[in-house]
Amino acid sequence: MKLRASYGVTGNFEIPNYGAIGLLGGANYVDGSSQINGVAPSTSSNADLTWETTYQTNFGLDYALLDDRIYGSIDVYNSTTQDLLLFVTVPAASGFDVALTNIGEVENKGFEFSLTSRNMVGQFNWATDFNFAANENTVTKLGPEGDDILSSGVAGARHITRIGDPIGSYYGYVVDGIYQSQAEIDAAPVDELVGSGGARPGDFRFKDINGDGKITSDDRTVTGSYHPDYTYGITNRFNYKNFDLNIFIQGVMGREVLNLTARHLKNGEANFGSYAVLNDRWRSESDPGNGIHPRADRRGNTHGNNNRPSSYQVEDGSYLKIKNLSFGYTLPEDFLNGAFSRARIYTAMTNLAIFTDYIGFNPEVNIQRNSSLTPGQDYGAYPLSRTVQVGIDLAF
Amino acid sequence: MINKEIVMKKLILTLLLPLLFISCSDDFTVLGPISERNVVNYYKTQSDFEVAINGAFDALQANGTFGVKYVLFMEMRADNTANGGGATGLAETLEDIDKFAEIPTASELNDSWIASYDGIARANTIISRIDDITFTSDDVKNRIKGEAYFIRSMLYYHLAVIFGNVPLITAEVTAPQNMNLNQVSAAEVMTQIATDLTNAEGLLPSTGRVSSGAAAALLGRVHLQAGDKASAVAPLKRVLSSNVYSLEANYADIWGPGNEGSNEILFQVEFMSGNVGEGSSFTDMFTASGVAGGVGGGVAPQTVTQDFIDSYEAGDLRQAATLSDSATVEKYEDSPSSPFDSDVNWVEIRYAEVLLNLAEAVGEGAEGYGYINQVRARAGLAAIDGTTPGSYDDKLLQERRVELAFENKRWPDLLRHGKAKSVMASHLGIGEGSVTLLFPIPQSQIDVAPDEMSQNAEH
Repeated sequence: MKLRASYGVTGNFEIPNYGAIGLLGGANYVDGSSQINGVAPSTSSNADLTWETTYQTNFGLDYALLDDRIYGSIDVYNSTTQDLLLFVTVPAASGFDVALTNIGEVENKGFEFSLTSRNMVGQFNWATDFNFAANENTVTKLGPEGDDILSSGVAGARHITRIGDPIGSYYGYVVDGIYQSQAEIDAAPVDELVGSGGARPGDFRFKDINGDGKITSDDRTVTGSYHPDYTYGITNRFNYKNFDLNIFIQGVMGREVLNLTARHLKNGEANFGSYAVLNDRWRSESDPGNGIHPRADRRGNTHGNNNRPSSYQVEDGSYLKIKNLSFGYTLPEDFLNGAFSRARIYTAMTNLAIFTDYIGFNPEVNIQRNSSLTPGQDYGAYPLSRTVQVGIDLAF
Repeated sequence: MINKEIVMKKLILTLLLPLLFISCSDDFTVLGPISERNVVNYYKTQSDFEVAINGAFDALQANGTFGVKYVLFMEMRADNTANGGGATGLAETLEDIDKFAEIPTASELNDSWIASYDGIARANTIISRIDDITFTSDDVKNRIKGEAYFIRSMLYYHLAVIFGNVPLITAEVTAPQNMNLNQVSAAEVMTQIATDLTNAEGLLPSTGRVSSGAAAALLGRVHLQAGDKASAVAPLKRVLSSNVYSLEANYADIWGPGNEGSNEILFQVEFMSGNVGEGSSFTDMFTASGVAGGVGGGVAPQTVTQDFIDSYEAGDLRQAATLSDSATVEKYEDSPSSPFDSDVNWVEIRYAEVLLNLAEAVGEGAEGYGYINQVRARAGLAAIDGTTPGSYDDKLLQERRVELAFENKRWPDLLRHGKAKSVMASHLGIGEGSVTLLFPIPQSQIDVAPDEMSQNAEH
């Protein structure tokens, strides 16, 4: 049994070279029939730019029980990152879209647990490694006035970074069921975001978050986050005589994915092929489908505007995955009269199977890796590849 | 030994002595990269500014400004053209603009907002920095400063007409994250434009890509749009008395790649073909010979409304020069080899507009009819006067409609004459209440600074 405690301060100076100085780019013009050189600012300046600092406190416990048959560690930590270095959206009236800024403070509180258990020892060996981690990400300070930061995904603001929520949470309207009849539409709060033709039965009913009797841009709210509630991993290792088997299972719970591909494949406009889930769409009052998917409509924008940023594009990204599996057989030492010091035949598979409700290819998706303000977007991301290897391992 | 020690001490002192006179200034610690042009090491010489002002002109070619979006907002919005792209997929939002159904999140609005302010920022950077720099030629310095004022004014004029109350930024923004947005009324924007154009007129040469006459003509237009006819008279008359500009004898000779030097043109946004990113999309948008399909396909295709075709008087020579037999627009004819790569320039200010603006500014009378009749004479039409049926305003508006067709003048004309609601309601068969006089300020620009930005009163 061992107790650990640590405190540390680290800096992140991942400021791009000359990030504080605005650069110029080519912006050519025409004089008669010839091109003439021009330049214009392409990035903004920020003379006050400085590095971000993380203060972390960690308490840990290492343990071993039952003659080391069970051992592992428990850690709790609290880290605070100040002067968070982010590209934030700025008013276009400045001439720029984004500016690199020290904008706020983020707190990460977490718990990590790991355990290794040698369940069976002897001729048949079975050992299990288990790890579990939970982390809570909270924005605690933002800018001089604490203003929210909205970040664009595809087609408008999709993320919000605001005090009290995880960084880069999803932001939009909340779907509150489907209108079944014109009478329901007439009785509902006036939706100011519908198109000129108005909502019709089968279109989404959006939630009046602030309760002012109408649906406006003020009714957007946090609809989920890419930050999971917890993650875990389990490795089981088996040995029997010359056979060995390893299985690594990995899981994530309580994560949402912002499926922007759904803007095209789940919008009911059928400009492209659609997800098969739309077979359960609303068709009529007597055939309302599963109550999740709206009606098919070639001109959705001019009617209920079902495709606006909403909870409909936010999908459960929890998953359980058999990430690695390997199975091997070590040949006896007298194989080929001992020509090899070791000979092993094996098969190894990665990404063998995934169990998830996510409709896209891969719930681990995050297409905008360069920006921490827009995590968790899927927009036509490639699926993970599954590989199967068969091999012979020979040592002389 | 002793000698050697003294020598060493002297040597050390000599080496350290210069340090007494060194101190670290900002110039020493804030170094720009020498491998890339940047705001620290650029804008230092006359030639830097000569290149930077071209960059400001470049903003006028953008898709979000004259390239495409201003056509949608200033021309397609009105009753001369309609969206010809059908009504599905991406073209749906264009139809929304045509029919007063656009929503604040429409990407066209944000694109135009961003591109317009991008150009304003380029001009502001020049205006904020140019005074501290010594030029070898004061004429060049004055010209560049005047051009920057003119470009900024041109963009603010469009923003004020399209969106109404917009942020008024008149200096380089060095800290965008902490900027003061200064959202003001359209009237205040117009006042700033008038000041800038008055400055520009004094700085600019009498001829050139932007002349003092172009600044005076835009100043007259801005006064009219702001409802101040009296102030519009003097600058417009200065254009006439400069004797630099005149009506082109043949109306059709104002447009097209071969006519870029016409004496009628006060200001044009220049484009060229050749697949170097400098081509225009007007041939594709308006004419049947556009590569992307022109009318009926391509980007934001513009079809001519029957209402407009019917508005010509019999014998008007402009009709054949403006419209083809199949009622597509002839003004922007060219033969581009790839999409958005036409050689056609955008003619934004020309002498006929100056004459008609002046006719509007001086009001009904022999003088006003005289200006209108100059324009009518070229079109092969008989002179009009007070005995011709109809009000002066109606006759003027009709003349402007056919003379300045498809030149982004119709929508501001309807606004200025208070006719936008009645004309568009009857044209589209919708209620006057549905006709909005301003476009919504882009939602994302309100979202980024909700405490400082508010939507305009129309939305």
